[in-house]
Amino acid sequence: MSYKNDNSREIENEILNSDERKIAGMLGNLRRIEAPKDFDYRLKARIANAKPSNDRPAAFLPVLRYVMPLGLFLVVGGALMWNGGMNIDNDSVPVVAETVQPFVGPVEARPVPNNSSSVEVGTAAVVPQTVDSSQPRIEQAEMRKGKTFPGKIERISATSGTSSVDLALKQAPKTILPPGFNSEPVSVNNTVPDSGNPRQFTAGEVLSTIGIEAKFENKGWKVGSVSKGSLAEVSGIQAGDSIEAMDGEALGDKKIYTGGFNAKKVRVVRDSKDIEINLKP
Amino acid sequence: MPLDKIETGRSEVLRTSVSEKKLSDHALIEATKNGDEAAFAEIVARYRSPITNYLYRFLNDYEEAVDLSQETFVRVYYAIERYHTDYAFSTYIYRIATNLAISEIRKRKRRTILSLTGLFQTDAEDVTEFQPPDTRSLPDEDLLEDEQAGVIAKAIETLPPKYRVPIILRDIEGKTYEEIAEIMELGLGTTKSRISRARGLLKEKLKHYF
Repeated sequence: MSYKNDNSREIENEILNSDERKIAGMLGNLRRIEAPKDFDYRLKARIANAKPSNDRPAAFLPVLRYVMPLGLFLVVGGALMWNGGMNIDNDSVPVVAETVQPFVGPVEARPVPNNSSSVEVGTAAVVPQTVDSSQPRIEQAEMRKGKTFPGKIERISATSGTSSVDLALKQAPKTILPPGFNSEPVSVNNTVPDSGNPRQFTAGEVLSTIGIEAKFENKGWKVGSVSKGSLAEVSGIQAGDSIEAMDGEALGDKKIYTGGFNAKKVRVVRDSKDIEINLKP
Repeated sequence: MPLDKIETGRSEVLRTSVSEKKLSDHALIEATKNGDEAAFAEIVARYRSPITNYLYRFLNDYEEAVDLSQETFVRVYYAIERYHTDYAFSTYIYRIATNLAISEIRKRKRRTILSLTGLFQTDAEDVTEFQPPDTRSLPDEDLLEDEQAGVIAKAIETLPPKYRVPIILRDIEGKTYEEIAEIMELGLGTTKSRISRARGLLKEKLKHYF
């Protein structure tokens, strides 16, 4: 086997086994490649017009092609993980004791315009409500959303002697009420009428809650109509009656009730006769 | 220009050409440093085919080999002031060509990965300039038709660069172990073992011919 290159004799003198010698021979027998005829011309043009191609300033760009997507992925992923970590599901947090804002505002006391010694106080439960952790979870969630449950007051008061009532309930400020008023608003539907100012009601509005449509005339409220099935009708109040007092207190035109009232008796004038009517809740 | 002056100029060029062909590589480099363009042309004439052949065997791509060969001479030209005569010019120019070829192999790998992913292909480096196709027949065309030569070329192409460089320099370019060690900047023992290992790898790839 002959070698075309000049070092063939040296290669032949190497200590090679037959396989290595054959490989060297096969490579040495490859035909030599010549440069193209216009090589010099193209080279001169290249030297004249350009600098070495590795002088390109973008040698670092291949690295950026990998680093930038990776960095972007880390930033986005980190942001998502951060938000996921901060957004703890409220329902997954065990509720030990939670204080709910009272659903009726604080007690307000206003002096009565007339000489009555009583103070009209619209009261409602001003009791911080404690959520027992033993309540069903759905109920707790509803309460967290601001919904109120009137029935909860009774439940809590019923369990107030147990450990389910927290310290805030025990230390809640006591409401001092004048005689004749209690903390429970009296209304037919157990609701308080909304008159723009949710805490103050005129006498006419209060009367309407027990089913009386009345207009103030002279000293009393002239009953125009009585709703069917209302407290007023059940108690015997009739259209044409003039309501002058409740529980012995004159029912003037400017009478303002705050929150609610707890009247037991109503004095009406019917056919020029004073009649005492007991309200039948 | 008068005719006699032209004739005088021609004879001057001929004298220069003849004399430069007798100069050593180092002398040509020195002449090039002094502004003798003909000296650099002589360097190009001496090494253009060996370098092109070396790069062609390394890359198995003739156009790429010619392009990198020209790039090698451009590098030599621009860095000629920094060239030292401590070692042979052939070692110097083969080292430049080797580095360019290895860089090209790495670029090919990156291009392959990127073409597979299809992402982030906007780099200007990947935008190839338009070049008209070379319609000339390849000098190696008849060889490429030879099945054995094609298989050998493919086998060489699959070798890792650290084995491909020394085996081509040794068995195709006929360089001595010392020259190869200098070109690759390796010890002599490492160079020999790599050449031996490269032959072993080629033997496995070309076992059908054994």
